[in-house]
Amino acid sequence: MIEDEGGEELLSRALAGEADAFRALVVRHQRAVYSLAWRMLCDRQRAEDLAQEVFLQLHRHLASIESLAHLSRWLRRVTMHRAIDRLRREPQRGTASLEEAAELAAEEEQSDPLLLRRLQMLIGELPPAARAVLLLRYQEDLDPMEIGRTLKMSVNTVKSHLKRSLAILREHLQDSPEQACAVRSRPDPAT
Amino acid sequence: MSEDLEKTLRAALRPLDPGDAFADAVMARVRAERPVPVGLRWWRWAPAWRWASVLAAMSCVALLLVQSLEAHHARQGLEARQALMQALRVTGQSLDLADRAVNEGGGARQGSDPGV
Repeated sequence: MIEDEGGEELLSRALAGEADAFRALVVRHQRAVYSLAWRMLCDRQRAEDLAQEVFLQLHRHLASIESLAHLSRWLRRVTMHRAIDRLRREPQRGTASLEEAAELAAEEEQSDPLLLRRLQMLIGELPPAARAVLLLRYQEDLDPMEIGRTLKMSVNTVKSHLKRSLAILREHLQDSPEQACAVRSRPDPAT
Repeated sequence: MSEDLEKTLRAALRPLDPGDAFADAVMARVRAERPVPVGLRWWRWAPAWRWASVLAAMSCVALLLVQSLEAHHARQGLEARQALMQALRVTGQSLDLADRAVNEGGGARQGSDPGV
């Protein structure tokens, strides 16, 4: 199976123009790119579109990719910058809906699904830059220096975003769940 | 609490799978992209170079325009100078003729004047 091949081998074959190898690279990195996009945009359709655009851009710039590590960094950087740009152009339509948040939490069987759902909705309400930092730290497991390089921020700014975001999340999680749910499920003024 | 929150965050932010169709959709979009001729790739993917080249082309056009205007003015000046020289030459010749006529006429009148 082509997806099981070594990453560097895949990369060099994709660089040589083999479509199957490029597809395997997409499969290998699609979870990370799609998850970052979805959690930044809080909209499944827009996230899928953005993730596809990132891979299209990768296809055009493949010749500039030097290694698998470089590829991962490149994908994270482009995904985050595109997501932040898109949020600037088309402001967020809202946090993830309860159904989407439930889907996001569905895979988690060991943790409290309600808690995970609330946490995901709270993350969706953070400002884009703070959200990007938090995602790179806790989804991608990057250290502050690497996050700074990815988002073109100083390490101090990264640490400050992390500290502030964690404080906000902690504060909201200490509120009563009923209060938080009431805020999230307020009726849509259009209806 | 801090460690708990970080652990919960990691659980909440576990990567999501976009589904099997995602890679196929990407590949369909890759195939649908019209290949750009090699000579035009730099134009399409380097906006900074693109604008720099537009500026350079506009500067060249402006420079050529200025040069051609200067050449036109120089040519006009040369033509005016040539016309002036020609006019002076003609005037000089006319004056010579008039002078000669005056001198010849005067001599004739002197020779025929009995009172002198």
